Amino acid sequence: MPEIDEKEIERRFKAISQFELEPEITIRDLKRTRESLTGQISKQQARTKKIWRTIMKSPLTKLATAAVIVIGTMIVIHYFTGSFDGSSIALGQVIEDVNGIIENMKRMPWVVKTYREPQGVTLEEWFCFEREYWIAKTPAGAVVSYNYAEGRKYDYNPDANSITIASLHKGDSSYSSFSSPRAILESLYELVMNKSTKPQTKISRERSRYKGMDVEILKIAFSTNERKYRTDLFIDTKRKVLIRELCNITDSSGKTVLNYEEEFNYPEKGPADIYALGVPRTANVIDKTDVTLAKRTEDPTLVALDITLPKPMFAGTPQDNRVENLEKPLGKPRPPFLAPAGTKNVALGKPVSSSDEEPIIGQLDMITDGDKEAPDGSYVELGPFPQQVTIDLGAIHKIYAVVVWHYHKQPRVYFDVVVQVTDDKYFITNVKTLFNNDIDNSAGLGAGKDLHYIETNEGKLIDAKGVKARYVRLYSNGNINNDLNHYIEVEVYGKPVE
Amino acid sequence: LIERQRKILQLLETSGPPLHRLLGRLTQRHDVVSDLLQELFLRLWNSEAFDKARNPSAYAYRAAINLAFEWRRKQQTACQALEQNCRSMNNSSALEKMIQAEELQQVLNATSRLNNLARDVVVMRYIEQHSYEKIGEWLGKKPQHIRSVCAKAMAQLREFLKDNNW
Repeated sequence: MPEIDEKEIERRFKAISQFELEPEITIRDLKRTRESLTGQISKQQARTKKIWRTIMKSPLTKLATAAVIVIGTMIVIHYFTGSFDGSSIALGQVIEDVNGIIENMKRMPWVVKTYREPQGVTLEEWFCFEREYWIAKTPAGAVVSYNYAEGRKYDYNPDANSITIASLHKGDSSYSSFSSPRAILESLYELVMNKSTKPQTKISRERSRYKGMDVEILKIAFSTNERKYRTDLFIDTKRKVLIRELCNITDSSGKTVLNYEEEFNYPEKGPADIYALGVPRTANVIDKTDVTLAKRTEDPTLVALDITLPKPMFAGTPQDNRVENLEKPLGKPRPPFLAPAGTKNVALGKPVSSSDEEPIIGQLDMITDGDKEAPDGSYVELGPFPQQVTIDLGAIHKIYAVVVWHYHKQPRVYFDVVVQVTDDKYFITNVKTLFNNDIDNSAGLGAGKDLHYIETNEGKLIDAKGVKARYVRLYSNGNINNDLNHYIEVEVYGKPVE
Repeated sequence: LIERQRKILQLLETSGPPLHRLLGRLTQRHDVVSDLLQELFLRLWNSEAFDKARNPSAYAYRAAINLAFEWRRKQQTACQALEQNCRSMNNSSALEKMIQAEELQQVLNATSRLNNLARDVVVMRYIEQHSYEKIGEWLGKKPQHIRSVCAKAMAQLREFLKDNNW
């Protein structure tokens, strides 16, 4: 072997730098990456279009959008221009017709609207005006329903296989912008009126056939300062209801901003509840309604911590007989943790230091970056033997809970997990131990009596009982798979001390 | 979302080929580069830090280096010899290829033991052969600092390779 001096190292690097891939391999791999990326983007777009946000808050994708556009547009024409395109139909007749269409739709026992975009996004919504009920389902399997009569919202998360039930307060924008399904129509009417300031509207109507039905197609085109809207409304001439809408919106440069199709159906019966739309009966129910929470605690000022969980990477919680003193899995989701109102994750974005300042993988700031997902790229890997990470909250806080995710891609157990808090940055005085499962004192911090536990997407929640501290330190000493220590995220729920 | 989509796809168009090549160089494996490139861009797409990055190309570059060394670290078994796609080795005999491949793996493994900054600098300087000025610009440091990091890294590499000089 030649002597390995600097020149030899440089020679080897140079040889490495001469590694080239065939151009066709590069082209193939770029194509694969583009496809993979596009798939991911489409998936995310579908998720981003959270049904409750898209449908309940966006003026463009609500029930009978197009019908309302017609009314709004017509009135705006009346106010601002006093006339419209000479080839189009009589204004008064259109307003009267559309009013009648909306009233007919409201009288239907059920209205089902299916929204589709060419990119593959689909949303299915069911309306029952009589029962004051609205329910929707995304392609990803998420289901949400607003039962205005009961005052409850049901939200099924397929990733966590859980249903969250919450109280529906009328006028509370966190739950709904509307007080009833009917209110959607009324609200749209105002929105469209307010937005259409300078319409150049053209309307025409023609007779046609669609899916075996006689239809009349209302073709509407109008503009605002930034957008051009084109919409075709298919009216079933027999029942006088809307059955289809095609919509295309472009920006000032002619580029398509939104392009979608909606179909309306009017069945006699609809889903009785979210289970009727495919939510498994085995889904875990998290009841966060006001009544339930009030019953759960004598202190009405306590509220359930809103801990967003990452996607689970394995089903269930397996047992591991190799580990002694192991906590028995709960077998169901962790019950809500109650803390005073206003309690939040005060560790988010806070600086992190560690006994291993140069992590093998990742960066220390990833521990408080809010990313709790398990895939590679989200975790920090610290070296072997006992290692600790310390979070500086920046000021003394009253801490109610610490939640830690070491690594939940596999059902692992981490050893010698110790969580301490203090107001002394050197961890010499006022150190309080919140959790310690180092049963044989191998980490040298004293023997603990807490149980070992298996990592899951729920993370480990440690009750801090309102302790006052500024610094939070977490120790670990390898895991059942290897000697290394990992952290995906640590959350500290508390409130600043006044 | 549309703006992000445009940004990431544009990055794939402009920086995809050099990143692909870099992943190939750091892994010396043509059979894993496709997966790593996909993994890299999916990570970038899902990364909030990428959105905030001043220079997306530089960020992607560092992410690629990190990903490649992460892959190397996971490889518990001995790395395979250079594959047929390595044109530089095409004229060598089979034995020479094996020896050369072993040498290259040694130096890459030693590089993976450097701290993140030194590792990134070494890759950019000696494998990608960028100037100190360009590396400094990408990493937000002065060229003199980069030169110093390079020198220290080289000394460390010599130590690492001396330890493993079998």
